[in-house]
Parts: sequence; C-alpha cells; structure tokens
Amino acid sequence: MSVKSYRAAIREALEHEMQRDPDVVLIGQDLAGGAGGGGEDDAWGGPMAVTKGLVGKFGRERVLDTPVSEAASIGAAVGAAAAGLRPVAELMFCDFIGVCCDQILNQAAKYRYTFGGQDQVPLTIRTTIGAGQQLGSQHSQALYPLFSYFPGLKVVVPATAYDAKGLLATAIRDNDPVIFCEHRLLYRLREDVPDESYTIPFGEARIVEEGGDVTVVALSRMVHVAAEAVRALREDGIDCDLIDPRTTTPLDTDTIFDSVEATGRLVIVDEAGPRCGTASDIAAIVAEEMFNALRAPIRRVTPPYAPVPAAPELERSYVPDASRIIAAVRSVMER
Amino acid sequence: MNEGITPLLMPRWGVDMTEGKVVRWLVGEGAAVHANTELVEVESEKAVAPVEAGAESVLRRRIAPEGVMVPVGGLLGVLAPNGVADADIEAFVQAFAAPKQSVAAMPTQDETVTALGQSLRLLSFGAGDPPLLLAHGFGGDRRGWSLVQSELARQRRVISVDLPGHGDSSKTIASASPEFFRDILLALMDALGLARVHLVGHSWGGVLAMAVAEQAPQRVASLTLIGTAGQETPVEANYIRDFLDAARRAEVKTVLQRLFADPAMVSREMVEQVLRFKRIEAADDALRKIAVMSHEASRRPDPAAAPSVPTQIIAGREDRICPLGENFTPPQGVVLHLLDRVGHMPHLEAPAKVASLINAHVSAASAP
Amino acid sequence: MTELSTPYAPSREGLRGAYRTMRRIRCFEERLHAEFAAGRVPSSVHLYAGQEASAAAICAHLGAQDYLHNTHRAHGPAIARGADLIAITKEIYLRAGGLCQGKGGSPHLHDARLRLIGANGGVGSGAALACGSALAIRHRQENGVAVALLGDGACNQGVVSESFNLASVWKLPVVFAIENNGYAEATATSYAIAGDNLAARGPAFGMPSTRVDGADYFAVHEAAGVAIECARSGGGPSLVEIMAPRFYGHYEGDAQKYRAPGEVAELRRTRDCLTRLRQRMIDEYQFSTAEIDAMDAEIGVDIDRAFAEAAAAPPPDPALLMRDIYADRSGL
Repeated sequence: MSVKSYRAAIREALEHEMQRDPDVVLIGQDLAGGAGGGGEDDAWGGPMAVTKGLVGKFGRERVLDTPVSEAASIGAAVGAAAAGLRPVAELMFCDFIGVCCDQILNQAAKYRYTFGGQDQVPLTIRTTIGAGQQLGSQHSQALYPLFSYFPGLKVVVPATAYDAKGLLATAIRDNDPVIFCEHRLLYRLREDVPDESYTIPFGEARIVEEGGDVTVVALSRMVHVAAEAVRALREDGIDCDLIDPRTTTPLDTDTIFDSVEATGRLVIVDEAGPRCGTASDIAAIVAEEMFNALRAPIRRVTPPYAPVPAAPELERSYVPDASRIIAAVRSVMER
Repeated sequence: MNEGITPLLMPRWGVDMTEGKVVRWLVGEGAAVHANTELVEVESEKAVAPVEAGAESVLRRRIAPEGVMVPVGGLLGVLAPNGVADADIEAFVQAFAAPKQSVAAMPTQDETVTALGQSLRLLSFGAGDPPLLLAHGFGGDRRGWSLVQSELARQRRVISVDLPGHGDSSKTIASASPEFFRDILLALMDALGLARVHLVGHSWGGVLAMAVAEQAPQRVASLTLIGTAGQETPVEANYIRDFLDAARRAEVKTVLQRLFADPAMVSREMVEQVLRFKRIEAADDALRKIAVMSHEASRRPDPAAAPSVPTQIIAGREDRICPLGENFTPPQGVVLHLLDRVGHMPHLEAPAKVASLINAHVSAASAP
Repeated sequence: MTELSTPYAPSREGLRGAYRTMRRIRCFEERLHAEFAAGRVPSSVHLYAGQEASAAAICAHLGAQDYLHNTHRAHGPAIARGADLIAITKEIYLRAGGLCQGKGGSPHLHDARLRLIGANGGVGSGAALACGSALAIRHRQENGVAVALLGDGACNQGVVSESFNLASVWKLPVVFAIENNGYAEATATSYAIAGDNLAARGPAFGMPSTRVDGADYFAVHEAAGVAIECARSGGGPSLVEIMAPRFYGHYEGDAQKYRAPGEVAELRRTRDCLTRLRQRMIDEYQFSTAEIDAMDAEIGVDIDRAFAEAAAAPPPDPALLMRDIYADRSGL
C-alpha cells in the first residue's frame, strides 16, 4: 500500500495487465512519446504522461505510437480485439470521438451482436473528459452519456485513484469493449492504493457517504465536488447519502433504489449536459421505478445546455460547484 | 500581545492519525495568504494533502522543516498580519506548548519486519515488556484490534501484526500450513528480540497462537483465545466458502453479518475494507490456500487439550461461526468467559469487556 | 499444356476450383435476383455478379490463418471464402440457422471460423479493422495476411486513407483490394474519384500498387498473389485496384437509370470474367465443353437446395433479440 496519484494508479494497472497477459497492447498517439524524433525516447509517455516508462519495459511492439488518425487507429484496435488481442487504445480527448464515431459506435459496440455472437471484442478505450483547464469547447466535454447510449459498450467513470486502478484492470480483462473515462483534473489526486493487482467489478456503485436525508448521486470529478457539498450540509444538519455509480454501463440501480427508498429525495450531479445525459437517465429510471418512494421532485445539477467556454470566469460558471449542489439539496428538503 | 497571531498546526485527518510529515512548503515567509491558500503539504498514513491558511493573513514563520514528522497539534508555522512585531511572534513560538500526549497519540510505530522471507506489517502501541502480541483471524488484519488496542496499551506494549496473505504484509505466501504460520509468529518474536510475549489470537489466529504455545511454551507468558477453543472447534461449514466467494458489496455485507450477534455492527467501512482486501488477487489466492490447509488440519485430533501456559477463552454466546456448543467444557486450568449478546467478534462487539479480561489475565499471569 | 512464366500461374486444378466458385457466385446472384423480383427476399441485397474473378482469385491465395474483410456486396466473397451456402442463404433470408443467426443480414455475412469478417454499414471501416487483424497476426507470428476488400466508393472515406497510411507506417501484412465497379451507388467514379485512378494512391502512402482488369481471372490471380506474398513475407502492405464490372444495380430494385443505355449489355458481352475464363480453360488448359457444362449442372443443384432450405427455415428465436449484446454479463 502506498500513496499514489490517479495517474500513477492507471499506469500501474496498465503495467500489471501487460505483465499478466502478453496479448495486451497499447495503441495511441505519443504513447511512447513519441516515435521517430532525433531526441529522447519516451519523452512524453503519452499526452497525459500516463504511459511513461512502459515502452522501456514492454518495447515498441506492445506500445504502439500512431499517426494522428483516430479513425484508423481505433478501428485497428477494434479489429485487433476481434482477432484475439486485448488492445488498450488511447483517445486523447473524448471530444475527438467525432472523427472515430463509426469505429466505436458501429464497429466495436455491435460487432458481437451483428455477427450473431461469434466473436468478442475485448477492447479498452482510455479517454479523457472534463472541463476546468480552459481548453474550450472541443477539449473539455464529458461525453460518457453518449457511450452509454449504445448497447454493447461498457462505460467507466472512475473518481478516485483506487477505483481507477481496479476498474482499469477489470476493463482490460473484460471481454467487451469498455470506454474508460479519465477526468484530467483528477490525475494529480493522491490516495492510498494497494501495490498489488486487484479488480473492482463493473456495476457496483461506491457508497461514499451515508446520511439518510437525501440521496446524492455524482459521477467522476463531481463526486469530489458533491462530497464538499455533503460535508457543508452535514454541519447544517442535513445528512446525505452520496453514491458514486463508478460505471454508467452497467449501472448499479439497486444501490440508488435502496438509498432513494430510504430518503425519498434524489439529487443527481453530472458534469455531462442536461439533455440526454446521465443525470436525465438516472432521473428517468428512478421516476419510473420508485415514484411512490419519492417525497420531492428529483433535481439534476448539471452544466447549462451550452458548449464549454474557455475563459476561466465563464468555465467556472459552467461546471457545477458545491453551492449549486447545496442549493439543490436544500430545495428538495423543503418539500 | 498575541492579537492577530494564529498558529498553523498539524491537522488531524481521521482518528488514526497521530502525526504527519511535512512534505513541502508551498508558500514562502512573508507571503500574504487568503483563507484557502494552500500553505504546506502534509503526508499522513492515508493521504497527502495541503493545509490551508483558514483566514486572510501573512505567513510569518515556517517552523517545521520539510521532511520531519510533527505530532497532531504540533506547530507548523505562524500566521500574523504585518503589523505584529517580530519579537511578539518569537515570544509566541517560545511559549507554544507541545501537544500533550493522549492515549491515541502514545508512541506508535507502524513498521515492516521480515520473517521467514515474508514481509510483515505491524503496529506497536505503548510501552512495557513482555508485550502483548495480537494475531487476527482468517481474512482479518491488524486494524481489527483498533477498539481494544489503546486500552491494552495502558499497561504494556501491544503489537498487532498482519499475518502473511493479510493486511499490508506479503500477499504471496510461502506456505499455507498452520505450522508455517506458527513459525512466522516465532520468527517475528525473534526478529523483534522478544523472548516472551502474552499471546492473543482470534479464531484462526487463536489456533495459531495455541500452536505457538505448544511449540515453545517457555516463550508464551499467557494465552488468550478469542472466538475459538482450538483446532477441534467446529467452523460453520459454509462460512469460509461464502466469505471467499462473496464478490460484491451486498454479498460481503451479508457474509460479515453472520460474524456478529447484531448485524447492524457491520458498517459500510468494514465492508469496504474487506472488499478492498479480498479483491487483491494474491490475497484471494492466499486465503483459498489457507482455507484448504486449515480444513485439513481441523480433522486432526486436538493436541492442545491441556495447555501448559495460563490460558483463557473468550467467546460469544451467539457465535454462529465457531460455536462452542452447549456441552463444551474447557480443559482443566483454562478459564472460559462466555459473553452474552456477542457473536464471533468479541473484540469488536464488547471491546471494553474483552480488554479488561485480557488485562486481568495478563496481570494474573505476570504476578510472581 | 501452356507454360506460364510467373510463379502465380494457376494450376489446372486451381482453375477448376476457381471456375466452380465463380459459376456458383453467378448462379447464386442470378437466382437471388429472380427471388427478389418475385418478392421473396425480405431485405435489401447488393449483387456481386460480374465481379466474381476478384473474390475467386484473391481467395485462391488465402489459407486458414488469413483474414478476409468483406464489403456489403458480400455474397461473392463469402462463397469464395468457403462459407456454407445454406447458412449464407438463410442469413440473407434472415432466418434461423443463418451465418449470423439472422441478426446481420446480407451485408454482414461473417464466419469467424473462416476468418471471414462481415462488412461495415458505413463503408470503409473494414480497412481499419483489417489493420487490426494484421496487427494480431503479426503479434502472434502467424505468417498470415489480412485482405481488406473495398469498393471504389469506400476509398473516398477518410478512414481508408488513414488506414493506408497506418498500415504503411506499421508495415502491416495487409492487402487493400479495391473492387472498382465504376459506381459508388449511382455516382460514377469518373465524377467522384479525383484523378480517376485509385491505384495511384498507393505510392503516395509508400505502398506498391497495381491496377488490373477484373474481367481477367489470370490478371487478378497474379496481382493478388504478388501483393499477398509481399505481405506474408514481411514486405508490408500493398494496394490492388481491380476494375470489375457490376452487372446489376447498386442494390436490387435499382432501375439504374444513371447508367448509359446499353451499358450493362455491353459489359456482359465484352467483360464477363466467366465467359473469358471458360474460353481460356478450353483453349489453353484442354478442358472439354462437356466437362465444364457438367460443373455448371452440379452447381445448380446446390443452389436450389440452399434457396429451398432458406425459404423453409423458421424465423430466429425471439430470445435472440437480447442475446450476444455482451460477452460478459456480470453486473448488467
């Protein structure tokens, strides 16, 4: 056990899985950071420095730098997975899904189903999400709801270093395509993480706090923002259950239902947008299944229905903060 | 005179924290700071995090150098507006009283020792030899003693160890046999230079403690068995299997509830801790091997019918895992304490009672 | 017997097999055309008639370790790769017992055991998937190749150019076999292909490249042989552009009014790969007309049986709707 960053925990999972299974290969831009220049090898170790050091351990045959060609490289990863490898492809920003949608949403997601179950596609796509770095509208989105729309994909949104390591190991060993969404603002977050290899099953939410007055469901970085709100509310005598689903497909509805059954109040905090997003999805499921348990309308705390702006002042008002969560919780407590 | 002077103290993050390490200062002396300016990075056993100023002021002094351990409540630095004179700050620092040692802040040491090639993590509390050595049960770890450890440490040193395959010790075990674990405990005593200890073992740890007492009675000043009376105690047939196979939170919770007379004792944190441990593959592998070997061992006749060291047994009347049975009579010379409304986890279900029984037993055994 | 100088000259036995394959494809597609016109085919189909030499010649070089990535004009290559004719027909009819259990349909004919990979809805993605197959082959040191069949239309997809580049950068054992039938749906290559020459794109990506007449089985056999051997021996990817006429519309029901009057009739008269192959087998390989006619008759029986079984097959089990969405259902 030692204190590790979210970034280091992800790197450790990659390393363990590459040691464990020779069919695990990494595919992405600048992973070996990069190939072909006259200078230092492994200078970058990936655009997010997550894969630093791996090319030295596993060689260029297993850490494959790609041209700037998301469609071809993600497509190749799908083909390699269907042919029996366990590729881990890196899509630098989830926003870039625009140039490789067909590979993910049509090829990876539907390969097994379309061909009548003859194959499996054990592919992991690591991608990054989230606002907060003034990167603007095309480098800051939290697009995981888009992936969850498609049956055939599994979607992971880890909020902590411990969860990131265990869930990535599960993703790589899983026999289906998994989209693993890393929030860039969490890379430096540090906590105790076992040095040994471990896995965390998909579809099991983490109960971050137990309170009993209000159920707060939050995802990815919003778990930490919600935790701040929950602490402040506790000082005012409002005790919240805080639930982090950890995976949006599969979604652990049981844990959410159990909590809502007891509290009768639900606030969902999501960095994805307010339309067709995860918050809307969870709200719809709870409204349908648990209507009689609800004592107040469900509240969603999400960004506005707008692209992500770059200026810090605008971006700060885009991303949900603790005060908005506190206000939402208070509003459901009034009912 | 001290108006406007605010001490910057080592925070306490969680009940386990007694001290923290100053990793690095983030702000220089003389810097104006806001309430949420991060001043210094501190490392506890569980996390590295910054300490914030808390109010608008100026960082006048950095007292604790980088890299040193500072007890909880110890002085890290001094904040005061520029109007406060240097002499006043100096006087404040001189007059600052070091935090008084509480039971929780007694000298503790979390250390790693190598025995028989296995890395063992242990926690020492208090002072005074021969110490108490605490051996946890199957699937447990040193943290399971947290409710009794402080109380026991009032009288003497208390050492709790993570056995191989458990807690923060080596997960890859050299052997799964009870003899190996018996020898681990003896090798640990050697490594720590301990001629004699008072041994306490819970459940499987109790079986191991008993084996140590048989093998080397001269090194065991007293023996306390919790939730077991030795190898012949029947273990509820499905418990070990169910514990091993429980993969998800709800399953683990249900299994753990069988350990307690009151299922409400099973907290979310306890479930999370067990899950985190069980999910480490090497740990799961070790547990499965131990389970097989213990199962085989339990079919042998009990050689410890008449222990040669002062022995007591503490058990819950509602223990469903290792029930002693209506007709159980302890071997001659062994005292049995059956606790009401307690299951298989007396040290968690009735910690005050268990601590006082151990303290009394140790005192009696230590009397000339 | 004629001596041919290249190492890729087909043997007499090879020709017998190729002719059977091509005739089987032609008969199958003609029958399907008639069945469709009679309203008995439940989905959209794209016929391969006219292009048979391409699939037959490529598959003549492929072994069990090799991958063939198909296009939506899928029936011919599936037959050439050796997929079960009855299972193919049942899949086109969307019945139980189809290659994909009735969940894929005509464009997605797929047989994992034969490493025959079904086509992509948005054309061109097969080029990228084939790079992945090739990567796996190389990783496992299987001495195999991946062939990506692509239409001329698909070559205008960005992913295809990306895949040309990626395959070349990674020196993958891939062959990009472009079946240029002159039309992307209804739009002619003369309009949609800048430069009107897809083979010219190969050298731009550092790949050997060639263009051959798809009506000439021997030419395709040789070009495919060179490219596949190059990939198999570690020489990296190549591109082969096969100029293959399309005898029917883009899909069945296409009135083809965008084609010049008499165009198809002229193609059938002058550029029919089957007629040409038959003639050369008789002229240069001492096959008798009776021998070839006997092969034709035998194939007709197989096809009748496949269509009869498909027409009589039950629909898929309703439970299949929710089956095989995931391989691991844990937590779902």
